[in-house]
Amino acid sequence: MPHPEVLPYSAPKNAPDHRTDSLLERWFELGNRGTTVRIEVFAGTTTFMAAAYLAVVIPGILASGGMDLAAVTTSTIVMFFAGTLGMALYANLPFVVGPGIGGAAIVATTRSHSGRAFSFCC
Amino acid sequence: MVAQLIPAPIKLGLSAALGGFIAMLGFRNAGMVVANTRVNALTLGDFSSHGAILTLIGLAVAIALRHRKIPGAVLLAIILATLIGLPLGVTKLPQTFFGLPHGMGAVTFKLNPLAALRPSLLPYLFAFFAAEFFSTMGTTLAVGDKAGMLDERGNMPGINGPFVVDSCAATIGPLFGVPAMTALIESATGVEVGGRTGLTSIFTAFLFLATLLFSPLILMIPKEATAPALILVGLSMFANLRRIDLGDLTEGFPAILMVLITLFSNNFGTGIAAGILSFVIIKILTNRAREVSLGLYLLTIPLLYFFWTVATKH
Repeated sequence: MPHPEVLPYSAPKNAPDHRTDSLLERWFELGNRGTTVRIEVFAGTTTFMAAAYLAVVIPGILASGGMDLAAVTTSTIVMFFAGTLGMALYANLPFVVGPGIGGAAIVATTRSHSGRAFSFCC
Repeated sequence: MVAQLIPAPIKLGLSAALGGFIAMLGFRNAGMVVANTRVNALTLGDFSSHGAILTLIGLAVAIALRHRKIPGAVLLAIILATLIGLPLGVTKLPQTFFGLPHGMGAVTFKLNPLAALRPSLLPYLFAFFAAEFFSTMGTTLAVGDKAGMLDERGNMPGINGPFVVDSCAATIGPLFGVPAMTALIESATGVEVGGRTGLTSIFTAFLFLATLLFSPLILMIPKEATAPALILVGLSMFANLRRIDLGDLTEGFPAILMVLITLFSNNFGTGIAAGILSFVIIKILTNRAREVSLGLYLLTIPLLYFFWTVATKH
């Protein structure tokens, strides 16, 4: 969904004094990017709220292609966790990483259409 | 390299073709579109059925909430539709609400990479690559722009970071039965309220982990309640079509054809093959053959073979 407004990238004007920075603030460079732990908690929760439906929808799509729903639900959530954690620790960016609806649809319908095992596709 | 080979209308039409596909999945899950064996075609289902009503309510809620930019609009719509489904008999209550997650054994390590290397699957390999690449690039740039991380030329410093993570995720995911791992455009919501660093992602990640404890609740959500999400997301994906010059026959025709063939054949790969083939053929027919690159001509040979195998009786 496109949003017209672009938030300005705040310069580290009111960045906290670096000697008193907590470990979190130093590791993630919160001050440099003009943000605080509280903002990040709220933002992380917001992103989760927005993306959580995928933890329901993706397994549903994959199950329609013949995968086991319970198992693939667990898999999907674990992958959301691992991918997003990787983005946090390696790239230090506020991106949620998980399976896209499009790719899941390709796999599921290809599988149900061709009658082959789902596994070939990747 | 493959990405440069593919003509712009095909690239831009991909998301619409995929969107039509996803929306159709939603309509089918809701029972609003069914196969009519008598006339041998798709037809409208029973809109007075409980499942269809549930989906329509969910869709209305999702649209209204999303317009007001309420975080979790789609999630709230799914939860509401699930609750309404209880008295209607669509939602079945689970035995317990909390429980340990199910094992992943049934979908883990079921790969057969050699089987993927045949010409009939070429469009899928391409579709996958394109979906991954453009999704990562599009999301990174769009969300990065929103976060004010782009330089004046629209480039993002350190953009290979997210690409490395996405590539690793996309490689590991299928081992556990989860395809097409990528950075998701939903990240924009967190950035909108001020998220700027990986700490945001840390909290998102652990909230996802926490949902594992509620897997009985997640598994009870009926497919009619998730159909609104599929319909809304799917139809939104048509928006990219506006960037194609639909009035230009050589550009608009292949893109629209790709969308329609995808829906007719219920097969994304067939749609892409039809789109690329028609693009090349129409360029030749309109004396604009020189606009088609040599690589694309080469690509049409396996695609022609693919299309022949799926679109002829044998």
